[in-house]
Amino acid sequence: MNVNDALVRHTLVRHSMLRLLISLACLCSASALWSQPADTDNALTRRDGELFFQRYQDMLSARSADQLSAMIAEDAPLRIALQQPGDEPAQTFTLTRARFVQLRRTLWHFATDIRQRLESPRYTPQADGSLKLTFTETERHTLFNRDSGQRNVTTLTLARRDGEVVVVDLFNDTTLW
Amino acid sequence: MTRTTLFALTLLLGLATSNAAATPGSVPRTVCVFSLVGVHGEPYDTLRDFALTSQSWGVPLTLQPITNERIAAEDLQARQCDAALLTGMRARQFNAFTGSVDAIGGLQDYDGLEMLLAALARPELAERMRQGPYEIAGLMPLGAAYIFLNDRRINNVSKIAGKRLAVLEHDPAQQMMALRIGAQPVPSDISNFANRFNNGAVDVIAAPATAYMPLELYRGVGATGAVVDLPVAQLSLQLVLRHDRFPPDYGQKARAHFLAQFPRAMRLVHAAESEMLFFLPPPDADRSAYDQLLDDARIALTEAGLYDPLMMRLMKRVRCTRQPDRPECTDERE
Repeated sequence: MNVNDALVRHTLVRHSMLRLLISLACLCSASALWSQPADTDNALTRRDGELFFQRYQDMLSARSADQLSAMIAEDAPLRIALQQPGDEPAQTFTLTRARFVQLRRTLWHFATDIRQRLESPRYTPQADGSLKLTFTETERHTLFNRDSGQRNVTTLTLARRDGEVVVVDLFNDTTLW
Repeated sequence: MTRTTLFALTLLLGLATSNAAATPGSVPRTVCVFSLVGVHGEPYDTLRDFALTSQSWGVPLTLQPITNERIAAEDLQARQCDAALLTGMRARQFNAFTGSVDAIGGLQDYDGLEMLLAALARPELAERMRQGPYEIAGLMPLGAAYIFLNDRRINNVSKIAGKRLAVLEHDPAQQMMALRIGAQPVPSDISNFANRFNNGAVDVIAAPATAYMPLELYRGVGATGAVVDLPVAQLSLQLVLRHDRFPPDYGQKARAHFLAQFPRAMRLVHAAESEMLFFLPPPDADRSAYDQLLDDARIALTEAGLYDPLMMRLMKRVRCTRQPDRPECTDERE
């Protein structure tokens, strides 16, 4: 193969790659369009968020693991950033829905004198029709004869699935003591 | 009927009776069943059910619960029992191949374990089930061993260095593992490791979830500890026979029986795992480091002669069938 052949081949390859990139860019734009709600009536409102928050508080009062599980989409990524002692950075854990619910359920099982406080809910509608809900949750309890508890700064992304408003993403900034 | 015919019949009947008595399977065989909680608990129940099946095969069993595993193994060696139900780690002395199912970092999920146990129950591997006078006649999952910590500040492997780690004194693999990670091994046995953890005499233990409630391990974890949701090893119970005391096809039939009990055992394991408090996976950033640590430890322990190389290759095949993108699937280390 001479230099010219090589150059021609190189140009052809470049053109092919360009076409590929353009196609990919189109696909990406299209998928971005697909991720928008097809029906704007499905977009969650602040009122949807308030109702969800009320359900969440009811679930906590009832300490119902089944209700908590039903409020979370099975495939939702659930991340906990656990604050560490001293200057250490927080450690992030990704949990399945079952393990996340287990964390709450087993605490309710072993702990006594449980007191919960939810505060500062904020509702932020997102461009894709979901709704971001942020709040702070403080739980104090007695665990194995020790006063302990947790504080979670929780950020939930809510969306409608099969007609129900559920958590599709969760991030907890958690301090345990 | 003439007197001669009657005599002949009596003689034949007598011969038939004495032949039945001589059949190895027709006399009750004694099984020493290691069970920390005696006749209570699932292992003993499973063996009780198995005894009924065995009876239908013409081999009645007498079950003898023993709460000290070392004694159960010694009684088998001393012919005080014809068979014994032991943990895989203890059974390793009778069969290195199946005793390596409990290898550190061997299998990380239960689907993989079922795949392995199904392979082990196949007649093609029957020869591997026998070593000397002993035969493994069934494996039952006890669930994965997890790391229990009394302090969540031990939040990565390097922080285990210097901590007191209970190791089973009859399992050199655990002692070597403890030394590899810089922990201080505290020789223990199944009957005292939980108490040591619960009263703070050791900081770290490895145990299956099925021990969590019965041994009250939540007391050791307390309000400040955690259980790491990463299977360190797949623990098993294994039925070890003295094969000359059983009919020739007994072991194979028993292995098929115990394989069919897998779903029953797993229901209990899953239920036990769902009861554990502070059951957290390794931090996202450290996950691959944990996997690497377990892989390196297993390979080192195999090179040290503690695990059977063929079983290690079988388990690698299972891991790579389930997760072909694992880095080890393109190397030849095992």
